Order: sequence, then structure tokens, then C-alpha cells
Amino acid sequence: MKKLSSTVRSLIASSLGLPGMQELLAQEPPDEGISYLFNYYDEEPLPADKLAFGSPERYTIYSQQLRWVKNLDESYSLTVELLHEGMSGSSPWYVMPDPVAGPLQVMSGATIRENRNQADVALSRRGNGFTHTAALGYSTEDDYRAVYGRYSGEKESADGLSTIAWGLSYSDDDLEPTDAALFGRVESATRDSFSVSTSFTQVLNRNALLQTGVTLTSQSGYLSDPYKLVWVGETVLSDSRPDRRVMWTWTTRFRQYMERSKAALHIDYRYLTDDWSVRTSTLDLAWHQPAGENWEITPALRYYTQTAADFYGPIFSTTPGDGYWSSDFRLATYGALSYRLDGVMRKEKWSLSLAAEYYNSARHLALSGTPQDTPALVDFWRFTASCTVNL
Amino acid sequence: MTSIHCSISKPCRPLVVLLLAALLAACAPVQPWERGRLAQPVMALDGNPMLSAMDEHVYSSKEASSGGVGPAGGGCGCN
Repeated sequence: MKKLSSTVRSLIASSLGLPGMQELLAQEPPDEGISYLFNYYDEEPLPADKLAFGSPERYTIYSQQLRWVKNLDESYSLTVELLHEGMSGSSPWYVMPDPVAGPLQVMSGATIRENRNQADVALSRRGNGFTHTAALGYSTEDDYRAVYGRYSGEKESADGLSTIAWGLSYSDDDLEPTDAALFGRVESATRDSFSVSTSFTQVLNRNALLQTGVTLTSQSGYLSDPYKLVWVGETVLSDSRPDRRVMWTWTTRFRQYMERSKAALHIDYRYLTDDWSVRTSTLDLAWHQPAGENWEITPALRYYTQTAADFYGPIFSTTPGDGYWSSDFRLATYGALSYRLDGVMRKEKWSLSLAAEYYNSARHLALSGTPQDTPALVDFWRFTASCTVNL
Repeated sequence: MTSIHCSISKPCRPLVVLLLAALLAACAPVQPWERGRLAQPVMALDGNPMLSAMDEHVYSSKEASSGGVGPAGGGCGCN
């Protein structure tokens, strides 16, 4: 089935005020096509003055993703996504005290090499103003497998100015850490994740729209990291986290069209709170500027801040009474800034997108909480190229 | 373990109320022939779903937060 180009759609939407026209556009099938994405992710080495021992080289990850969208008939659409990731490098292992330098990071010595493959199939049905999507997926690594499913639905109002959406997802994950006997790791474990979400999108005026939504996620099972250790007292113990985590996320996205520059300002904000005492805020600002006939250039800035989990510490002088401890830097108090530049070229039959990003995290960038010495905080570069061919 | 704490910090409350009031005030009837700009690619809520999914995957594997609008996908052993 042939889909109208965005230009034609805009012209129709602008020139025809016929009742039901917006309903027709909303029920229009998605663009048929094949998309390919390549992502290069490279973490900067750990500085020598923060390293106790192990390799300072951190992860480099190559990701490739393929997406195929096919309209089966007027009502049904199929989306198939395949992902392959190859990663190599060293991972933060534990933090040890140093009487002079303070906490120092111990890294895994050998270079870890691992692959991840994922397949995701989604079927969508449109009709009577509703869109329903059901999806199944499978992700596999040497030591980790996830089987997951999700359902989402949306309904547009009769006037076409608002949309309400809802969704559910479930993931069943199995872990089988490598070298479990050698390093005293758990041999096998499971964890489950369930989420429920809803969102509301409203056209505010002819130049602005707003979307806001909440998601509740519940994780249970083995939530510790089997590859991380913690310095507790005079010994080193396995990472130990509660076997349940409940998270609330509130996300708001705002789009404002700028008549003078024909550009759009995007403001996205996300707040997360959980029962591990983690609070996070993420603010994304992006300026989408059309350039020339086919290009769109987007400089963007992302700010992230989080407070630590209540069982986080780089080093524990005594054994915590509740039995929970972790020195995983991802549970620390810190903040991060990332700077990004995207370019998109759109033609009638295809589009090409390029993006570069630098991510810098540091404890002094935290907006609240009590930052502690966290030597493993990560900085990385990322380059992404993607293209879509409309069929 | 502490319970979930959902309140907005006190200094931020007037700002949130002001923001919501401004957004409500900004609401205006939009006729079908006035929606051309909203259909522009630069105004898309998610202009490149594949890239957005990769962004979410990268950030959630390095930060303590994950998720956004809509249901999540599967987990990974990313460390």
C-alpha cells in the first residue's frame, strides 16, 4: 500500500477541512520500508590516577540494527527488528581504599568479548480510531537471555487534537554468568520485569503540542550484578541488592514550531523515583532546523542527574545490617552532560541520518544528593548512521 | 529500604503550577486547515524510532533510570 508523503499530507491537512479528514490521516498505515542503523560506542579509558589495577581500557561496542515495516492490508502492519551488538573491553570490578589517593577502581583484567542478538516482531491493527500493537522479542548473549512481550494501544479524539495511549510489557530474563565456579558467582538466576504505562498527547495550538505520560515498572528476582564485587570491611564480597525494585517514571515532551526560522524546539523531561531511593531527572533540549531543501540539522543538549541508591557506597567500612551493598557506579549520586549534533537528509524515496554525541559524567554535575568518590564514572563518544528506504 | 517518594520539591512547585497554567492558556482551537505545521517532520514526537530505541538502550545501560513513554522491551546483561 502506498503512503502519502509528508508534504502531501501537510497540503491535504492544510487545505481540506472536511470532517473525518484527520481521522483518516491518523488511521493511515505507517511508512513501508527498510531501515538500517549502525552505532559505534566508545568509552574513554579510566584515568591512571583512579586505577588500582586491571585494564584502563573500557567498552567499545558496535551495534547494527535492521528494521522492516510491511503493511499486510488496510488494517494490519508488521514490523520486524533485528539487532546485533559486539562488545569488547574491561568492566569496573570493585573499588578499593588507598590511604593516599582515596578510593581507586579495580577493573577486570582480561578483555571481555561478547555478542548480543535480539529479534523483535510487532503486529499492529488499526480501526475505529484505535491502534493496537502486540509484540514479542528475544534477546540472547553468552550469559543472558530475555524473552519479552508487550502490548500498546492508542485512541485519537474525534477532533484529532488529542490522543490517549496505554501499554503493558513483561520480560522474563535468565542469567548464567561465565566463570561462575572460578569467581564464586551465582551459577544461574532469573529476574522478571513488568511495566504498565499511559500517556496523553494534546495539540495546544497550531504551533505547539505536548505529550505527558507515566510508567510503573516492577522488577523482581536476582537484581544484583554477578560480575561486580564490593569492598566490605577487610574483605571483598559479591554485589548484593534487594530482590525487588519498583520505579515510577513521569515523562513530558513538548514541541514548539518557530515560524520565523521554520524550526522546532523540542523539550523532553523525565523524572524517575524508585524504592531504592534513586531519583533521576533528565532534560533534553533540541533545536530541529531545516537547512536547504532536504536537510535538517539538530544540535542538542542533554542533562542528567541522579541520587544514589540507599545501599550504594564506593567502600563499606562495616558490614551493612540489611545485607545490601553495591559499589556499581551506576547507582551513585552523579550528573552527566551530553552534547549532540544530528543531521538528516530526506528525499522522496529515502532518508539518511548521521549523529555524533559526547557524554561526560561527574559527581559535581549532580543537582542533589551527596556525591561520594566514584572513580568509574564514564565518559563516552558515540557515532550513529542510519538510512531508510521507502518501499 | 525507603518507600517511594513522588512529591515535587517545594521550591519547584510554583514553577510547575506556572508551567501548567501557561500550557492551559496556550490551548486554542485548531482547525484542520491550520495543522500543516504540526505535520512537519521537525515537529515529530519521535522522528526516528530506531535511533530513539538505541539512545534508550545506551543510556539505560549506563544510568540508574530507564523507560519513557510507552511499554519497555526486554532486558540485557549490559555492564
